[in-house]
Amino acid sequence: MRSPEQARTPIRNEPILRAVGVHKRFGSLEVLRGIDLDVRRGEVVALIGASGSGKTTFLRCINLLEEYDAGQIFVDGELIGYGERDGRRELLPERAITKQRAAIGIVFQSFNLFPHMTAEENILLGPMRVGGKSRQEASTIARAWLARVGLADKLTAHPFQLSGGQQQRVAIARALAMEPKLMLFDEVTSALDPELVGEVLAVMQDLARIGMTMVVVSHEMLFVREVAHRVVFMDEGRVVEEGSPHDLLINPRSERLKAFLSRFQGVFR
Amino acid sequence: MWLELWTAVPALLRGLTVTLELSVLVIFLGSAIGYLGGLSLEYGPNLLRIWVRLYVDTVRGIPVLVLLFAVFYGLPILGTQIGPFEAGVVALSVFAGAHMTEVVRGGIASIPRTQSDAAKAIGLGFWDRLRWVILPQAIRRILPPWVNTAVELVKGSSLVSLIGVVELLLATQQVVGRTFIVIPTYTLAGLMYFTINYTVSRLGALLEHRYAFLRY
Repeated sequence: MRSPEQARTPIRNEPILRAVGVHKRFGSLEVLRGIDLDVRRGEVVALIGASGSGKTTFLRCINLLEEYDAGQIFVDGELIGYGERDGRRELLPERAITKQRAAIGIVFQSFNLFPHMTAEENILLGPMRVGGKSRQEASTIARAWLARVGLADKLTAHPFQLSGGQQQRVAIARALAMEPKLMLFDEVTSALDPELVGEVLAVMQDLARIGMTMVVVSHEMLFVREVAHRVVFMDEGRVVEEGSPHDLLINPRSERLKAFLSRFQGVFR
Repeated sequence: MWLELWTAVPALLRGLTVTLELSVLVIFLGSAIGYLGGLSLEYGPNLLRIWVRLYVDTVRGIPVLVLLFAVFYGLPILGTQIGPFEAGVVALSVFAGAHMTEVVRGGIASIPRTQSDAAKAIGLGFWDRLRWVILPQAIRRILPPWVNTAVELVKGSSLVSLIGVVELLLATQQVVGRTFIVIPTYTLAGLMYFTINYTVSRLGALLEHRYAFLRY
């Protein structure tokens, strides 16, 4: 059997994602209270924490599905979503934001496939409309990614004809078809029946192995321990603790993390 | 009697043609206004939204007949000459547009936000999101109330008889005035209205069936 260490590909040094003091509030509720995070190329970072701790909001800020109020997020050196005019922070025009988003893949908890399109059409839409590929080229790309996630035979299936696990794999393929620099996974197995979780995690493990940079919000602690290079524990909109899976999951320092992990007792023995 | 009824058919058909012309124009213009209005309400800047909302709520609160008289008798007072048919087109389109705006807005609003998120996530711009993701799904939900409104408009077109447009209803009344054959003539006209509207409904049902694979 492979040891967990072998499942991890070596990472290079430059950060592909850098978050500095990211703040976000919804009305009077401050969801993110200054998040700092560096993710290097090829690194798999797991975000863990109780619901309401800001993990999902943080992920959504990275590709600007949520605008953030203060701080900076850089992807590949480029400031996401904002520019400066007369020394003031200003939201970029739609076109620029759209371009930035195309380079960041995200997979959602609820799959969010386009129900009126087949699996193939779901995947080729991005390469065609955003990547400027011809229908033929885009179709080739779509077929290749569908095969990669093990669904070569589901080309013409509509989402409602697929199981949850299959839908999620199509959603992953759809994001990958844009050749993103960075993949974000937002509790992608939480909506799945237990017996379907494995097939989705296997695809993610495959991605980690080929060196895809990933930020993964997950409650699958075994997966986190086996695949992540680094684990980040968030609580009340802050990063409370971060380190290797072993350090964090086996020897938590903060009381918060100890309390959080006590729910998963038995998983790590 | 049958012979007299038979000789009246061409007059009725002329009226039917006018009803059809008016209906097609009004449904087309009303839908166009509806899409513009619905999109404005969902995505427009605040000021535009306020104006569209004002238009929709005002027009929906006024009887069509009042609208019709206002256009036909009101516009000339303001210095714009307008024929009865044109006045009918304008008044009914303004009315239809207000209703269609709500129909379109409702259809778009019923598409989960997560669809928009997913479309943004692969880098689609606003118009691409609308064209490829939101509208194809919204149209499925717009369709049933749209058919409903279209059928109402065909029937509502009979109101323009009151400003002297010889459409199907007025043509029927004229035939009755000449021949005194009341029930059969009105029955014939009724059948013609029914045929149009039944066709529209069936077309709608057919389209709906085509989109039946849209499930969540």
